[in-house]
Amino acid sequence: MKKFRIIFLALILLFVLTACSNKQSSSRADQTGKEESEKIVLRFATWDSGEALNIQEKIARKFEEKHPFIKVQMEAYGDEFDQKLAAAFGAKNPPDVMYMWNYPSYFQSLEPLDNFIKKDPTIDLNDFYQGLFNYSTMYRKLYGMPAGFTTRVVYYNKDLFDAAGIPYPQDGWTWDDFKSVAKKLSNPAMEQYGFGVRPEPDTYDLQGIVWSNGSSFISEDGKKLESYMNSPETIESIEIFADMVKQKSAVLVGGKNQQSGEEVFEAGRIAMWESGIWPLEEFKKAKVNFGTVEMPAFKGKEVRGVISASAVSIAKDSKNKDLAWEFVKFFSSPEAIKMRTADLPVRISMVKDLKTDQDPLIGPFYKMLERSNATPAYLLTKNWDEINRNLSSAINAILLEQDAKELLNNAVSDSEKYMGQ
Amino acid sequence: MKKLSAKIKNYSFRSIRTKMVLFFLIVAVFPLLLFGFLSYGKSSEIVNKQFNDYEQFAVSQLDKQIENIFELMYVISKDINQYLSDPTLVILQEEIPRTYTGFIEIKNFERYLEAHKTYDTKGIYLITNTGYYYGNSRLDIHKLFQKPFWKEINRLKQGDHWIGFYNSDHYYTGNKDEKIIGLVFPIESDFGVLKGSKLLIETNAEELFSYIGFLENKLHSSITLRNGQNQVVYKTKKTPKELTSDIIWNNHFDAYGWDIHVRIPQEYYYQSSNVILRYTIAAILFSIILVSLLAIVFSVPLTKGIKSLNSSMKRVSEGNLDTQIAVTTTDELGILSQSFNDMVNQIKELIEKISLTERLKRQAELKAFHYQINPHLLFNTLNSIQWKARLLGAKEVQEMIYHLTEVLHENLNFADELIPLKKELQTIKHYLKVQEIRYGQTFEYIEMIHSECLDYLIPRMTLQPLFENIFFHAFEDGQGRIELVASVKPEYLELTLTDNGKGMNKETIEKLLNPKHQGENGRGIGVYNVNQRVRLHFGNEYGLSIESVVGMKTIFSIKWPKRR
Repeated sequence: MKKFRIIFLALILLFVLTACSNKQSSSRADQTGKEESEKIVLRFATWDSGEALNIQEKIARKFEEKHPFIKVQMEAYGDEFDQKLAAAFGAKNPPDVMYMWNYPSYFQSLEPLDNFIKKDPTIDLNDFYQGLFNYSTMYRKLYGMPAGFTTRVVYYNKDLFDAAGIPYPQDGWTWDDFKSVAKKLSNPAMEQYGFGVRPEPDTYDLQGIVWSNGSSFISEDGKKLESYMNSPETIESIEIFADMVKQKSAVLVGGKNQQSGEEVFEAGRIAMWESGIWPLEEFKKAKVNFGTVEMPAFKGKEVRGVISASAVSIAKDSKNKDLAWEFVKFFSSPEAIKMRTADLPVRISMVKDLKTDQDPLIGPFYKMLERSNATPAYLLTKNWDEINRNLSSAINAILLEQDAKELLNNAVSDSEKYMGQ
Repeated sequence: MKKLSAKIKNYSFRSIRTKMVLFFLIVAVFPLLLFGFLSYGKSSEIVNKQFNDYEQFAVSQLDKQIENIFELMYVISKDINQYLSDPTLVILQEEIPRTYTGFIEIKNFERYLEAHKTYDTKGIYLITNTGYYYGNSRLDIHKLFQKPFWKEINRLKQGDHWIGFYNSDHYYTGNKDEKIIGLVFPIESDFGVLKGSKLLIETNAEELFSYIGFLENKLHSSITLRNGQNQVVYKTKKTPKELTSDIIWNNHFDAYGWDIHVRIPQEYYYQSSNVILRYTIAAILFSIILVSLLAIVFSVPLTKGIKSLNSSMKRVSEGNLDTQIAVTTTDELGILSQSFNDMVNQIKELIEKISLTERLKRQAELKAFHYQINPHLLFNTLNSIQWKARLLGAKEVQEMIYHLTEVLHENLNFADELIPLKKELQTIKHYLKVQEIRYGQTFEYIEMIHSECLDYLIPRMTLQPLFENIFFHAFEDGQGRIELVASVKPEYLELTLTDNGKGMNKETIEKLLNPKHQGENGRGIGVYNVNQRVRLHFGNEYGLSIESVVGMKTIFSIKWPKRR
């Protein structure tokens, strides 16, 4: 009897213990939850969406695998990137790491990377295309590690060239070649044109052409516009397109309420299109039989290219700068670059390994990269936005067949007030 | 039914274990039920109240969010409208810019529009009558015009506005399926470019919809939004059937004519309190099981003890007096078992005693039979002798025989075992007469009897053997003095018979009262008999005692109870 009672008490004790142990195990579950919440969170802001965003997500996950105590929180700002980033900096609560291109506007909120690079023996800056560093350097301090870039090339529709019996354009061709080819491929009656001109182009993209003609929009010290923005060479560069439109060897595309140039090119209604890497995949998908070629040269002058570069930067107000640096480093590591199939690789060794530049479609982009060493205007003056409003108004009007010289002079004189500040 | 309940009554309450289990159950479950349901009631009330507050808060947050978004867009639209309707600020000379100044104007205007963007603003566009628009170039205006809501827009009157939800597939860049809240506001300007133009402000509604999703998933609420035209602009998919028991919130924005309707099925609304209820019931069930187990566990040894006691009693009642219970505990049951053992032992002893006295009685009766002479023969013979004596003139002999006959009458009267004391004293008188005739006036007899004693009963022939003993052993030739004293004590009666004869030593006294020495020399059988009979009739605490001083006196004293 006594035995039975002892057994019974033991059973009750056991029950209580299991209840307690349940609590313990549940508290253990809490702990793992806590660990999850105790992970250091790195915020990474990007303007990308769709496939590019998915790739960046994967890179973030890869980074988390290597650093189990870090959680990378993706913040995809999309089209509202500027507005959201500005708000985040304003609130002193910025993402730790972010995609960045507009260094003049943001560099004061960013952490210079030079000290990290000095202290870090694993990073080899020489493996990067040196031209890219121009785009994330302000006042001799590096604010971003190159993440992606594109140069500008001419896409051409092989079928249209074949149909017209015209040989494909080759590297080293000139603007005269370009104009004559465009003329040959145009048939306004059939709404068929050799080239598409943006009525309101981004002046940034035009810089390569202006540079190729030995001029630029602004002096290299950022102090002068006169005889740069309104130099004969600049005027000539812009007028090429205005003239082509006038002569009906090119058509205006991609303005407001108009079909975009890419759509027109895919539809085969223009034979050539000038752009960066962005539409390449789209054209492939649309089964366009196309090729790419370097930008044309002005007679006797060297072709110069303009780079659209993106880099990743660290916020000055980040609480985990060292970890942010780790992430930036990983983002520009060969492993991560290999994953970013939508971007052109920024490391020389990788391009050599993967023979990226051997690809006939990609090759011209790298050739143009080698020709890109000038500094774009927006990096040379604080007030480029204001100046650019005048410049682009002038250029827009020029493309609508108004007098280039007069307009560019207007743009210069209207912009003088922003200079030397 | 009655039979059944009776059966149950008879059956189940027979066992102490059932009673104990029931008792335990009632003791445990009743307070548990009471407190369980009290606490359930209280806590569910609190939880429901909290949940209600939380719901209220959540729904009011939804109201707030929507209202804030509307408010913000509305304020922006008002601000832009005011700016544009100021005739001194004619900013747009040409609708579609063609000139340098035209482009600069438009760019400045677009900057002005962009400057109104806030954190969640997707876009701000001014769309003219002809379909040209101002704002950033991300908008695919053709796609916008194809959207169903745009048809309504054309019917908008000045001062009205339109608010609605749609997707972001009219943008060239970014996600095509972002949710957007759009506000369209006809600009109040009657001249120039702006005549009939409309302002479109779009806000990213992802956050709002994620909040709506939260309400739908976490709170199981169905949400319906209606615009000013009472058209449903949003309705939760997979809404459960509407029941009258659903909990409903409605909110109406007067400013925009919108209605928010939130409905939560009752079961989810009371979900938390149901959890508490389940736990309470589980706790009660658990305690019932626990209590039953406890009751069983603790009643088993008890009932086992009682059962063994019971079976022992049965054995005893069947006559097995050697039954003993092994006492293992010191609790009441142990004590009970112990007392039972003692009781059985006492009964055993008593029975032994009773059977002994019975045996002795039987022997005495046998002896009595043995000595019984046919009284008729005796009396007739004595009568004859008396007559003979009379005829012979032997007066003394005749008298002796008469007294002897009286004594014998008493002696041979087997009808009453107990007689009043006065009768016994009469018999003694006759006996003493006989002795007096025999010895002459040689002895002195003094009687001091308390009158109260006379009616009390005493065994027949108690005194005669003692007198016999005095005359035959204490006196020489009947010389001496005899004192008979009867007195009443509170608890009993006492009679002392004192003689001044030879007396006797301790040994003799011992022999007189000890049954082992009876009948050795015929002496003392009477005395012993007297003692035996008093004790047999009244119990061992009564009887005869003898004190004596050799050569001086002997005192017989009898103690017996008051009986009538």
